Amino acid sequence: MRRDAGFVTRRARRWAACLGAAVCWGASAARAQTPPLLRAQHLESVAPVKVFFPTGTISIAVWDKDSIAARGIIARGEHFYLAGDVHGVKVGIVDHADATPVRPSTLVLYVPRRSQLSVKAVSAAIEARDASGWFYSVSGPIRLTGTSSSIDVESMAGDVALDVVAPWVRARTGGGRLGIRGAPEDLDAATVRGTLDVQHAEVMRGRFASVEGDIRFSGEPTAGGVFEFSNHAGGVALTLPDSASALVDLSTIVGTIANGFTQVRPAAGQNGRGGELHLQLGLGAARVTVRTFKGTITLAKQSP
Amino acid sequence: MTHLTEAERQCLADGTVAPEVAEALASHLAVCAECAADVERLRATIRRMREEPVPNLGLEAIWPSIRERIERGKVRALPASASAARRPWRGVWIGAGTAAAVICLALLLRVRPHEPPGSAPPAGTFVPNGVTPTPAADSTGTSQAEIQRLLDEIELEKAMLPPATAAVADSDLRAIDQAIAELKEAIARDPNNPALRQMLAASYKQQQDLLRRLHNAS
Amino acid sequence: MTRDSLAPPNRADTTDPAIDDAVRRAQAGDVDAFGIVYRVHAPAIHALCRRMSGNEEDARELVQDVFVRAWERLASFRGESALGTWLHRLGVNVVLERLRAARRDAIRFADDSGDLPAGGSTLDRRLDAQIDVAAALERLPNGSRMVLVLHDMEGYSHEEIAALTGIAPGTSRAQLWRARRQLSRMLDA
Repeated sequence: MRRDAGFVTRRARRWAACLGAAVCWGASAARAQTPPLLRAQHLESVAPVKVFFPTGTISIAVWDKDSIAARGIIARGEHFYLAGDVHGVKVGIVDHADATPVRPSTLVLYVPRRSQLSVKAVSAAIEARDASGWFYSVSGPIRLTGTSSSIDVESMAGDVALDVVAPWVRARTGGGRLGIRGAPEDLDAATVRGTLDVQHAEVMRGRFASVEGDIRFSGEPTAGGVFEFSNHAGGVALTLPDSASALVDLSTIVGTIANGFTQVRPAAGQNGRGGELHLQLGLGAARVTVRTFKGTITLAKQSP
Repeated sequence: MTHLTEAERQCLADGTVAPEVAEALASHLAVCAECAADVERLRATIRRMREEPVPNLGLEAIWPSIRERIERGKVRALPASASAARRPWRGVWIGAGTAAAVICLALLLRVRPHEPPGSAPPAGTFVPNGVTPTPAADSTGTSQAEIQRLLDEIELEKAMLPPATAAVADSDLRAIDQAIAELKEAIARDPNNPALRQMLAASYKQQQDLLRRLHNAS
Repeated sequence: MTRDSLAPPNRADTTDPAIDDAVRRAQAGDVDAFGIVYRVHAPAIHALCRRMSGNEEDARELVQDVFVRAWERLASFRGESALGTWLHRLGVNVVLERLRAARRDAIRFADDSGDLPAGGSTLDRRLDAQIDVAAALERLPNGSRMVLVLHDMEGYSHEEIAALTGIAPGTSRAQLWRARRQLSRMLDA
């Protein structure tokens, strides 16, 4: 059957319409991936940047420019601000004076690499890469990655996940989980009730503490490193590779010690309660000390 | 010949002479040896003062005393926040409460600070028959009062929080309180156990950390 | 800044000054980091305290006071000025406060007649000629020495000295000139 010219024209029009729609959709998708610019200005490379971001998501990236830029989508009715001068700025969303909840917004902040960051969130999720400074949330999660000069991170109730290379890290959570990877050289980590989970982290000096949360350490203690674990009621589980080289001192006042690494059995503590175990693994290149009041201490070997 | 005044000589010596009279004064110096010598003497004195080095011998020996005072007072440099700026008195209370708690720690036992990388590793292994702990009997009463002040501050901070956040703080506080109670009971049974005292110090530090988090939450 | 290049560039290696890091860590409560700050700035603060107090024993105590005060106030340091400048101003205040608290006669700047202290009046002039600057400063009355150090050595204006010490700028000027004369006589070889 022969197709007439009108059919060809209609078909061409349909193809053109579809193509146009596809182009528009693609452009829209591209815009969605790059949030619109809200504000930008010059900023000294070591200037302080104070951020208050109540709800939503805030992502922070560093760059080697002497300026700060904020991109994002601010919830309708909320007021975004970026105030200050080249010597320091404050950024964020204005909190409601009547304490009504702030609607979630999305913010991506680009700051000079050496900025002195202070970031505070309520329930917002904080993400930052290669950033240094102080990060705090009431209940929102915090995730920090990359290379930093120093990190001080705290959350009342949120989870904190660190995968950083930094000479100094201090991390605290209350009930939230605290996960640590990377190479925090000097690490001070503590929870109250949350789990403290350290996985294959290259730590030179580590202090790990909790009151009721379990502490889990997996990986090889760095040669020359010093590792101190303390827990009141929560357990401390060390899972070390067969090649681990460390002087290990385990002690608990009234708890128990389970040694799955060697055949040595722990000795009873004072008054027949609790226990002690002193081991040398390999050449004893690291020092590992574990103390609990009543939490269970477990020493196990990593599966090959 | 009229010589320069004292003010003129002094200003010439330190270079603060007014521009409108500088030329006239310089002309006088060119023809008056006495004034010129006097000004030069003053200049030399100022120069010698500025160039004389102050020997800084043994400054490293001062640091331990500074550190001890800091640890004793433990007025922590809390992160600056907008709320702290609006209510500076809270920083005073927090500082006092925190300082009080650490005074308690310092009196109860020897607390070893977290050492930076590269320094000598601590001798922190469990030593049941090791170092005699610092006696705390004489200071128990004072310590309890200071700790109560810290707890009062925690309650004040909690009262300013939304209920959900205060509930989280309550759970944390209960956990710490229970740990402290159990440790005190254990110390009462075994007062010469340094490990128990160190654990008690760690629990008090958790309290301080909690207070800091509460403060930042408000 | 170009608005068309706001995407983060490729990361490049940077080296942060160790002192900046130490300050940040100290502000977060790390006393060891504050020790790093101390080691860098102690010589300048000691020199200030030594000159203002006139003797080494007082200077070493004042150095302690300055750095303990600095620890207490570290949270307020925002980096608007250099840390050394901030410490210096704090040090001047600490020294002046301490001298006021000691209530020594020479603290009454306005009453300072500019005469050498009691011991100085018996100095053998021949010995004075060989004296070094530190010893000469020590022999000045406290008020004269304070103005001399603040103005000639630390660079404060008379107006700033007046604000710090409570004396009038004119008095500060007079004190300064008198101190220079006394010092010059002592140092004159």
